[in-house]
Amino acid sequence: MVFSSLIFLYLFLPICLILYFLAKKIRVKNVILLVLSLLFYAWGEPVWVILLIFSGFVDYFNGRIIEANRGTKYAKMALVSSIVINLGLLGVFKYSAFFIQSINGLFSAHLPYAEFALPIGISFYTFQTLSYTIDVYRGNTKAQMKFSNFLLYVSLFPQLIAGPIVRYTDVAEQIDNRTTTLAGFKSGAIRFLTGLAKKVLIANYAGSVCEQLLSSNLPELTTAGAWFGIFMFAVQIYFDFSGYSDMAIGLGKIFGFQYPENFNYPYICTSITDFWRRWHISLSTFFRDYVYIPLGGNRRHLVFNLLVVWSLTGLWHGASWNFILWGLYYFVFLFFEKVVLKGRMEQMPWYVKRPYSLLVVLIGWAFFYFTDLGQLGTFFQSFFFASPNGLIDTTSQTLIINNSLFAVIAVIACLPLSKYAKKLVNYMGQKSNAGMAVQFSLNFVYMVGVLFFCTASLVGQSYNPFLYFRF
Amino acid sequence: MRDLQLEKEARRRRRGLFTGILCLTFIIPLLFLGVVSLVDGQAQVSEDENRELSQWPSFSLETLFSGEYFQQLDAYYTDQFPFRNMFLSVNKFLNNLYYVPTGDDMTIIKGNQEGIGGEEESSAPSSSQVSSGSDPSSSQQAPSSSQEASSSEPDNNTPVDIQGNVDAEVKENYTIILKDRIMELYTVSPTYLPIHAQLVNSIKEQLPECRVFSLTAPTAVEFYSPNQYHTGNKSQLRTLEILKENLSDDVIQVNAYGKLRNHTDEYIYFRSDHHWTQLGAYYAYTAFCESAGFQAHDLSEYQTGRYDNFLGTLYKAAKNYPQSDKVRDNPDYLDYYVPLSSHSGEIYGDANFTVQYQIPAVKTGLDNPSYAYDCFCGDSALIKFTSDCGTGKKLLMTKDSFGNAFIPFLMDHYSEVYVVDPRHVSKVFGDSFHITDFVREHQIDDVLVMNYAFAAQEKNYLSKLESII
Repeated sequence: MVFSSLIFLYLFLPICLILYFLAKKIRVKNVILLVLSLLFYAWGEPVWVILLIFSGFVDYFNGRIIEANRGTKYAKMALVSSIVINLGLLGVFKYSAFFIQSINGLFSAHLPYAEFALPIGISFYTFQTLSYTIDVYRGNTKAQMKFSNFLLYVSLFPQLIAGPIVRYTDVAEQIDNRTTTLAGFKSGAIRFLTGLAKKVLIANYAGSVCEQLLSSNLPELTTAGAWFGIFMFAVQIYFDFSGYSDMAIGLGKIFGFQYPENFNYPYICTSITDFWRRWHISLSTFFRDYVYIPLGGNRRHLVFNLLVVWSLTGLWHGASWNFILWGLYYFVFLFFEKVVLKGRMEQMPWYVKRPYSLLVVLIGWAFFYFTDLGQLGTFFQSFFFASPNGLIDTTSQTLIINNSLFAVIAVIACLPLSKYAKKLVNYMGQKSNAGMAVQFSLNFVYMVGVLFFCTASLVGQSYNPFLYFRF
Repeated sequence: MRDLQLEKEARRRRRGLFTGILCLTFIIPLLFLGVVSLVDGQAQVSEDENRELSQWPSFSLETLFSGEYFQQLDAYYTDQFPFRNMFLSVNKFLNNLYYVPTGDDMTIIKGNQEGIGGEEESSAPSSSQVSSGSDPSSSQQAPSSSQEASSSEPDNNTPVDIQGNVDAEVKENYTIILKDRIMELYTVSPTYLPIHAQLVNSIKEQLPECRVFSLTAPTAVEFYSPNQYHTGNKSQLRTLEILKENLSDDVIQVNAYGKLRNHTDEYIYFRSDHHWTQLGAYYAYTAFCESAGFQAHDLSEYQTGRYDNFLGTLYKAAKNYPQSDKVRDNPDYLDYYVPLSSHSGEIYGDANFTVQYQIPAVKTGLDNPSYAYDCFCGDSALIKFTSDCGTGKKLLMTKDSFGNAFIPFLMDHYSEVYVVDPRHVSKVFGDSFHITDFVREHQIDDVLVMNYAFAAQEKNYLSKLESII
């Protein structure tokens, strides 16, 4: 199931909220959340929900072994088994086909392989359970004694499908010990609705424009089309992913959980280093804490560490060469900024560092978008002013003009204006009664408006006309 | 001091009240629509979309474990959501908010979802939120992080030998709204056009004693669109060239294109529908007469009539876009021409040739038809028209819906016309129907393979055609 669907919004969520808030004891609430989360997951993966439960059980078990045998070799064995099993599952389900295909390609072999449909969220939950066992081993947290609690942590539906990657240490306390205040519920609801608007009203729209330019009609791509198309993709992926994170955080808040932020207005970054402090924060901190620093961080063989982390980051995003290239692409620029420039990029004037950053990120998205390297080549040909179809044509011109207002709105939405708007509104609310009324009205209109228009858009997406009647 | 405290207390309470109301603002609409969605009735069909709306899916362990059952539930819930039409108009309003018109008043929109072959297409993924196995299951193709496992390759149990060069073709049909005309954009398929020609050639090889005609009709985009959309690999003239290169010399090619090209300032194509008007079909008919050695009747000889306020398939596909309002406010009308000869048609309902319906080639005097183009014979597996024109000649034609407007003119030249729509044959005849056998059995003189430019190169249509040769 996905958040941006009518069945989630109008059936699953209301039922979940009613059951959750009718229950008085935290234990009952947790059971409700657990059952509903598993149902939520099983909706999309009726078979591989087993894998989720299995992965949860393995690390629950390992966690307890580590806890009970601290300092002995059994603890280490448990840690290793956790790593092996988690990465093994990920490797088999996500990477085995890719890996064998690559070998076949390199050595002209014909090794057989099974193509698995990727179980939803496996990249997220294996990393989450892995972070748990490592943190228990390091002594950062005590092991969770109840399996149902641990499984709740793993499967909690707000963050299960698309992150953020929530570490056990972030929520350990909150599992048995949390409340939802009215204010918390309200702010969670608003956060959720904001994410929904980002996804439905911006990301989906950008996606359909981008698809017209870069997907269906790629052979006819012009230079203008390439630039506008990849720009639309940059919009789509940011609002889609950050919108999803907003919905996750908002829902978590409604149920009393505080999740870490995952995005921080990445497109106002001043360098690539800065970009990665703002984009998918939970992933980059995961790699920092569990790979980069253990390898030695910036103290021992920095370049090698960076190379490993960024290859893995690329690979995590998808089992395909373009994603690895994407990771390596960022490695090059991070190397450039950290080692060559030694951090001096931040001191450059804004008209150097911002365009540089945006351009690098924009080109990076091309590596992300095209899984077929041939198509990637076609795209770059157009992007770098060498398109066989010229600079611009009727289609790209029409699409650019038709969507110019949307482009402006999207760019504005990338700026942290909403942060200041919120501060202003809240300040107003504190100041006077009139201010409070205004704050209330704005919030009210916002909530109703977002829900109404997103619903309309979701219904609109199901409009599926055929020229010939289908019986 | 106390006043200040009281005031603070009052403010706190007011804030709490406001917060509480906002919380209710979230939950009440969700509850309300949720409840309504459970108790309201179900709609069967969406006339605008030309499809049935999803019904409650049937349960089976198989569909449960494949995930299909939940997907169908999703689709069902979305299709049957309350106030669907109201939300669709709000969605249309949203489309308008973002939209900036170009100087030449053109909009590019996504076209229809399926090819011409219809039917056996793999169950249309009603753009519902299908989790394609990629990590963050997102409804569109937005892969939040991981790759998308989406494979939108249509089904492929076609016997046609397809050199899977699918990349060479543009996959998606786009449609443009240019002022008050809606047109489907076209791309030449160098892969499938030769296959089409081969099929026609094989008909001629198996029926050497018959005359075999090939007629491919262009569409509006060829004549009324900006240059880019009817030149190069988008030119339907190019399509005809490729067909010509591949058709054998024994096949008689009808140059309908040339006739239509000379009459583009007349009302030969609808603006809200993908078909030609019967006037357009008439000009193609004059070309056919030239090829067949007939004397075409003059337009003035026919009795005519009109169905007003005709908004066709393309309008329905574009209805969600406010730019289509120009078309709505200036609708088409359908002028029909009635055959001179007395005639009637029989539609067969099963492989025993049981007559299911009797119809004329043109239904006149329909009262407010929901789709005026249906006044022609419609699409059926096999229709036999008998006319009293007295020539004694017989024709069998395979056609898509463009042929429907063309058939009336044939009534005055053939005593019997057998009309076959390849897309519907298997439903009625299974795989027992073959036009070559049928032609020999019934001593039919002429065979006409007639299509419009899209169907002429569409994989599913061609495979259906192949299976009935």
